[in-house]
Amino acid sequence: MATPDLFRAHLETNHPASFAWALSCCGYNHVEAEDVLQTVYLKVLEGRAVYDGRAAFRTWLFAVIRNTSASRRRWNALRRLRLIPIGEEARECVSRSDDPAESAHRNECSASLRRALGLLPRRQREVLHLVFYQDLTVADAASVIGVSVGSARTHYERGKKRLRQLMEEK
Amino acid sequence: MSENREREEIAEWFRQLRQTEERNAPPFDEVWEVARARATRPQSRRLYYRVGMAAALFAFLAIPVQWWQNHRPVQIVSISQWKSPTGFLIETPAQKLLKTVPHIGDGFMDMRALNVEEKR
Repeated sequence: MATPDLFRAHLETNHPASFAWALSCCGYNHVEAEDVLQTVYLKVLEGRAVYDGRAAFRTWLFAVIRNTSASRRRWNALRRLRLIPIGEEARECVSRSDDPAESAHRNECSASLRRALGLLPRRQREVLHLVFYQDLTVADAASVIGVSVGSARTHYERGKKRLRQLMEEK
Repeated sequence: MSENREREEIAEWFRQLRQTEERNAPPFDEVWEVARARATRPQSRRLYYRVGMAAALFAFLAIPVQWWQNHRPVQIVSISQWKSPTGFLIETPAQKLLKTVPHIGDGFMDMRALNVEEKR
């Protein structure tokens, strides 16, 4: 990334995908996902997250989002222990679509999928999201979540099986 | 169900999820501007927070150490009973025998018996 403007353009292009990944990392909590994304952009602006070109830009960005979300989870654990005052309550993710019927159907399907994904172990959920939602390869997904390709493949296969079972049970 | 079909079915579920979520994504400019505002905010609050955390950590470690130093059991020994920890180095093997005065009439065997007893 040569200039800040170019860097910003890359972030903007990847913004919807980044938000979806942040949502997945935050258990589909819209407010938390937005806050995580703000923090990621803040890290970029302050130079705390620097892209060194070793991986694809998207892989790097998703890894930063994942790490930021993990930090936030630890922070939230402290909040639950009442060590830090609880701030704004989380709100559910709802569709802002204009067509109510289509939106309702899609929301229903998406809600089922989110529920099923919520029941999967974290790693399986992450690999499935990165492969099916973000169209990354299993190797890239492994790089984002920081595991070996073999391990990612195992999570992928097990996750697929379990997700199908859960969707059939609904 | 074949593996390809299973894959396609899962991909379709995720495609629907993507369509829902892309509509819900906050505009990039909005998120970027908030991040920029946070970046230009004075650093004092963050600095106070870091100093506070460092002080808390120091207190967390230092207070128990200080308390232990003040409350650890101290054995008070009179100066007349005090023995140097390296005193044994200047002792000779038959020191007690050399310090006792032999009595008239004591035989050589008694002295040897005393010596053996002391060695025990």
